[in-house]
Amino acid sequence: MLLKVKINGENKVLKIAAGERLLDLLRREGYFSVKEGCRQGNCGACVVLLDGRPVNSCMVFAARCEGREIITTEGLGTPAHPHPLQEAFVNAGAVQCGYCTPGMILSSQALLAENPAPSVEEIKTALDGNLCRCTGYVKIIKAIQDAAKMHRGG
Amino acid sequence: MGWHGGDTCHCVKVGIIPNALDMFVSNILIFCINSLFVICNSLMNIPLKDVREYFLPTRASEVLKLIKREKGRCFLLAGGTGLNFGSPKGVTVIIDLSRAGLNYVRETSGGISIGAATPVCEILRNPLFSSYAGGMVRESALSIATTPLRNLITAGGNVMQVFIWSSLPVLFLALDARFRVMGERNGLIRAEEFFSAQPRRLVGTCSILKEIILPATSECDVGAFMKFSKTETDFALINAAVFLSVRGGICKKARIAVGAVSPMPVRLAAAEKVLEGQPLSDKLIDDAARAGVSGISILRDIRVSEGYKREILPVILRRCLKMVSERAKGNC
Repeated sequence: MLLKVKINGENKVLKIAAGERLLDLLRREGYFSVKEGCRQGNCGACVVLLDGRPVNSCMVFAARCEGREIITTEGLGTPAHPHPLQEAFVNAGAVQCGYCTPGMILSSQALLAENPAPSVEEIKTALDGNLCRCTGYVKIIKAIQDAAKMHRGG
Repeated sequence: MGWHGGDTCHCVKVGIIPNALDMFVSNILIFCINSLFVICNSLMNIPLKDVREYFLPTRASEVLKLIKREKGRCFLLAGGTGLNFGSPKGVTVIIDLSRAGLNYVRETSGGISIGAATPVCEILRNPLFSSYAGGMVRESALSIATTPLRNLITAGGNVMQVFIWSSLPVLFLALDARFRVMGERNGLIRAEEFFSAQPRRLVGTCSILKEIILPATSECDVGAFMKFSKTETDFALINAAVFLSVRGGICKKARIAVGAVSPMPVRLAAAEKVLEGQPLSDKLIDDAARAGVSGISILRDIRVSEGYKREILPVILRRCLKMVSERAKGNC
């Protein structure tokens, strides 16, 4: 079957299988920032924004995305012009192995789009679906606070 | 002595210092077992792998037509996260409910209606629930899984397939919610009947859940929801929901429901009886919490013992009741 979907601002028509997961589709199409982790919706490595909301792409059937918009980390910034969140993650040292980072950044992006000045508790709730086994989260939280400050022009 | 020595020698050769051939064979065996495990795991992780068709109906009536047409081989898809825990065999058609017009929260004269396909995140965002029943709906919704999963999990999905740790069934049982179903079985079902068995079986294969109706409340109808788990996002070891109608400091009506102690959520009638008609006090709360656990059968749990849950349950009930009592203070 054919799926009409907007990925990172680009309209696409993709051939999919009826039971295919969004995670598999995105990786097949070359969006490698979307990582496969637990495949059970627990780790958040495969998080993408579906109409602006973070979802575990391993839990979503690709067919459900008909006519909807998907953002992956590739759609946020480029190596030459990184998104403020990407910059903040690098500057704060919030990246170690990097496997969880794309999911973390997208969850953070959804949070800041709704709440430009989140408290630490609000950041923790927004990231409760993203596991990091390296950093201990402290620098990730700092990076989000820094990005929020940058976003507000502080 | 000689016999013993020979035996020891044999043990050393085979078990402790294996030769290269033994190591090779055991490595091959380990590799095969690991590969088998990986293959089994990946096969188990492909729910509904025989699906050939996917429908996105835009009206509930269309869903019912499709169910009739594809009877026996279709799967009604709500949030889809429950597929982690198994999926029916022989399914070749998915009927996705996400665009069937069942995603809404409406205030009516009879209370608040929640469409079956409303994601949990919408319940959290809706201002109607910020003060409804002391905020217990929000507390219950927030206790479910994680932010990305709450964007997928729906109110209807959470109640139609009840898992022992499910939060919303406990909440809706305490709130005396009603469930509107449509299809072959039409009409309203009260929470007690709805959760008397697995709702999917009760509703039947040719009907769907349309909405959940919560009763209208006043500011003196207050409640609280509490989840007890090892970590904030882990599955509940105990879920408790308390909903009291307080007038002039007297508890006029009490509804207490608990989950994760038995396959389906249960009402604690003994605790409710202790509270009803009495002025709220610390002693009354203690008595009710103790009464709540007496006579209740607790299912064995792989994570903690039955005895542990029996110790913890009155503690959670007491905390929940105290929270409600605090919320009722002043105006009620």
